[in-house]
Amino acid sequence: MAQTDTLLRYRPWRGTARGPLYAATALARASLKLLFRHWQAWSLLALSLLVFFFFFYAQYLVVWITNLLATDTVRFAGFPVSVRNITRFFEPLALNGTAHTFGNFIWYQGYVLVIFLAYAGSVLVGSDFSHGSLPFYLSKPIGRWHYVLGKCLAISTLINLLTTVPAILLWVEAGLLDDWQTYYFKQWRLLLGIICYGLVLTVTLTLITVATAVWVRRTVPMAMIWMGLFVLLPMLASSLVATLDDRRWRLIDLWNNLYLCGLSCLRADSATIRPQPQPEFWQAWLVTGTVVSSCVLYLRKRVQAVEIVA
Amino acid sequence: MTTHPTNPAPDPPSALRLPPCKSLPPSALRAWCVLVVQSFQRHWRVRQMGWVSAGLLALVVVWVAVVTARGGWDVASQRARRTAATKDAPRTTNAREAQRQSRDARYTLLLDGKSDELRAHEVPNPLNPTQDSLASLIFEVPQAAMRDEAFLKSWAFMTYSRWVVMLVFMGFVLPLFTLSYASGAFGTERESRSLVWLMTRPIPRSGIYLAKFLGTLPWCVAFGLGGFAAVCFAGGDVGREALARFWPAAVVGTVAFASLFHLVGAIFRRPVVVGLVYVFFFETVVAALPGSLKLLSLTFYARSLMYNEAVHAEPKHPSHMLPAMTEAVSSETAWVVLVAVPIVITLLGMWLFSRSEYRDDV
Amino acid sequence: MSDELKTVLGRAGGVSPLITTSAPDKVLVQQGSPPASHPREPSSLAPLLLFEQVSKWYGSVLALNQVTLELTGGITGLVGANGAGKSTLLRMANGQLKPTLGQVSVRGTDAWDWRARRLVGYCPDIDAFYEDLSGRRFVWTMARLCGYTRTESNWRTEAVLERVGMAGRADRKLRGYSKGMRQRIKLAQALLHDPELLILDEPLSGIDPIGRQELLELFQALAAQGKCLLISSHELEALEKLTNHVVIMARGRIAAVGTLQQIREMLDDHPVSVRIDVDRPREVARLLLALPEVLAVDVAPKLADGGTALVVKARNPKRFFELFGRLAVEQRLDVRRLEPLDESAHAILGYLLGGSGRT
Repeated sequence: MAQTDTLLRYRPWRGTARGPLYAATALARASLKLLFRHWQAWSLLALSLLVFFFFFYAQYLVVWITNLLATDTVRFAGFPVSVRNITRFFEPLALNGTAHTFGNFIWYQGYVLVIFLAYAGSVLVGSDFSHGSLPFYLSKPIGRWHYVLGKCLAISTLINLLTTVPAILLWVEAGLLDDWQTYYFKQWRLLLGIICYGLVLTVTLTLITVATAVWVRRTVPMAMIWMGLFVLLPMLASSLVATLDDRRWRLIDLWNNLYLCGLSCLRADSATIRPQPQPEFWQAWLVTGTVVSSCVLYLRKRVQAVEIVA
Repeated sequence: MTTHPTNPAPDPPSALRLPPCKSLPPSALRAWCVLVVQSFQRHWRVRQMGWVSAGLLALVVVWVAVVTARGGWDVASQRARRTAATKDAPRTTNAREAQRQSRDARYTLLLDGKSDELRAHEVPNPLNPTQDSLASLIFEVPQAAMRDEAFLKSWAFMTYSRWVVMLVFMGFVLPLFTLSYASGAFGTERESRSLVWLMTRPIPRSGIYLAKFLGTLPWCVAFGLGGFAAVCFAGGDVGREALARFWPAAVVGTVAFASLFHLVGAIFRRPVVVGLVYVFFFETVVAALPGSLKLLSLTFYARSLMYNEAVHAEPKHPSHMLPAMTEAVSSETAWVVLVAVPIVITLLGMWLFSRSEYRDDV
Repeated sequence: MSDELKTVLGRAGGVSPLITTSAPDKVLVQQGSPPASHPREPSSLAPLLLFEQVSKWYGSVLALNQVTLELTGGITGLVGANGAGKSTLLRMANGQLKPTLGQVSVRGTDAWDWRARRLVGYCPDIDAFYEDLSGRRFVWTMARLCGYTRTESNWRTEAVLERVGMAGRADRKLRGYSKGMRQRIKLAQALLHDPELLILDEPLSGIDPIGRQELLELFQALAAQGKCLLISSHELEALEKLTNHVVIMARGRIAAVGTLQQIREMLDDHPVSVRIDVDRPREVARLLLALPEVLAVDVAPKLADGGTALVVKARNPKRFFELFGRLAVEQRLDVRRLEPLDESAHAILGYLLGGSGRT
């Protein structure tokens, strides 16, 4: 029987393990794959692309109209209308490659992003709790923080995919529509601002997503909380600002706070931000910072709670 | 390690032989009724959702109460939009603004040499009596309005209807709560993979669908109408008027939404995402578009019902105070649609459910 | 257990090589004749469970392939590897799934119809409950959902909990139950309405040996009472103590039906081709040809992977493997691979020779 020894070909793996941080990236990759296996994720992505393409072509259209017909009037329903009046339609969106272009774009992407994150949170984090797959991850040689980090990475990829990346594309487009050398050299701060805005969004929203998903776990309450945060609070904020005449009430609108932080990164004039009146930039930063730190504290508390009850 | 129970099991065959029905034979109808009750109770078991709903509702109620306490619906005590005050100074109320624009007040300022507190078009012009009296006449209008009881009442009611009822309640509270409860009827069963226990019972599949719906409906109506009542009571007199006028629309809207989301819950594996996209994209975008596309939106009919109730029922309120609702359909049409939609959707759902197989664990 | 209760008639569909080569109806029909000419007739004469040429696709995956099966009573074991289609077959039998092609009926009623579920008790393989209920409350709710009155549900609940040995410990919440207790609760709810046909998907998994013995006794008692049980398992060993009658599934097909003896006999008559990878093929071929069971040896077969191997055609597989094992030890053969070449035979041999079905 000595011969059969040679049949046993098992041997230990001879590579070197790359440490738990790589495990977090692997976890993030797996999470994203899991997410994009559902058709809902693709349809939400399509919806966000719709917003992107609207901005993309509208920006082109505005430049085209103004360049081609700068001094002209066109006849609209029999009346001569100045071209300026046609492009005025797009003015609220500020499609001229300034700070507000990118601010507005990310503002409108927020509608899709919020639903996407409610969904991603429950798929990626909530279901790990409710289906008991957490022990599977934690039986690997990674810590709980690495697990959280992996999930955060997945969600932040998603956020950037919807906001920062298309915003940078819009910036590139704005430069190409203008004289590219002057635009890129003059407006490189805008690029920096977009990246900073993306960073703020990423950190805040990722932490809120993971924290709420860890807290409620199920899809339905998660969606309710998210809609409360991002739909109800803005409604209440605008009404409270109007009736109580205190612009600090707008600080309860988290999405608006992030918008303000972003615009301060983009160095926009606070007087040009709609809707007016708006609180100061530092107030928005303060509220955002508080939200982030309370999410971190909550996650810390949950991660240190040792037992996992499936 | 499993152990025998303390009393040894009796002789197997005799214990096993369940006598063929001591009392009544099993009845599918009774099973169905039990299922209605059971699916009602299942929602009670998911406390978390109840707490979150109550929390959101509390937020809305507090908001309404605060605004009401500050007289927020009343045009006289609302902040005036255009004033001479600078950006930092607190804005004055409409009543005071109207007072300030009165002929006497303006002349007093002019004679006291404080005409710089007036805006250019407000400065009285005694040298041109025609223009002066014309301007005074125009500035009289807001003052007259501030003194008109009926106008003030209508304004308060319509402001309340517009912000609280149409925007926050119809646009947020009602769709979100019905979505949560109605899609949860099957959604939570599928998420926890316990649907198999219902599907193996001797109840027709279409009956299971209907029973689940009927068991969920009280929750939707409780949170829909109960939420509406809470929001209205927080709104004082105006709110009570709104409750008296709008509750039928709230109920029928709840039922219509509930039937739709119940169907969504039965069809899709993650119904909430589909529902959210429907509510916060389709309903908000489509209902705001001009043309006939809005006829596809459920809230449009409920809003039409409310609009007609506010504008055509005694005491009538002026229709222009509720903007963007001028294309409302008639109440009869709205009623027909809102009653027919749940019935059609439920029948469709029963038909679909009786044909589809569920294998969420595969 | 009377003989007629154990009458199980099965005709394996498809092109299982074991069966096509040896007239299936003659070998597999233990007693009785093929199904009556009116299989849909809703009478007690109609077979309790009938699968007629049933196929099931999940998307592009073929989960069941032309299964024809008839159950009339007694205990039938359903064995097969993971993914062989056991659960799909059982779910169709109680109307959770619809066949893509063919028909499943219970006493003449379509299994998809809700009335069929009155005759069938189902113990699913999934481990999900209303976790916040106690075991007793859960079973009671299930009884109520069968359409019984309160009092009726009460005593039925107590009776079935007693039967599965859970009567004294069913008041805790389900989420705190051990795996064995959960299995018993699942079994209890299947017995509630005293069904004629019990479909048990992996009822023995996760149960300790003592509990297993108790449950096996319970199954036997149920069969003695005239119930028909269809029990699936990965392990033939567990079922062997319970019943002699098995259905072996492999890759969505029924590989063999009958008593274990019948299947073994059938295998004995059925030559099997075995691929053997060794270093000295010609020498080994010479040794193999000397064995009495070997019919032919191909030393240079055309194989899919292009390797060098022997293909041996042997008459009696069981005897052949015994002899070959002895030969390999005596001659110190370095056997790299040993594999029966047809799948059904592969699966059946796996079960009959022990192991998990993967030879």
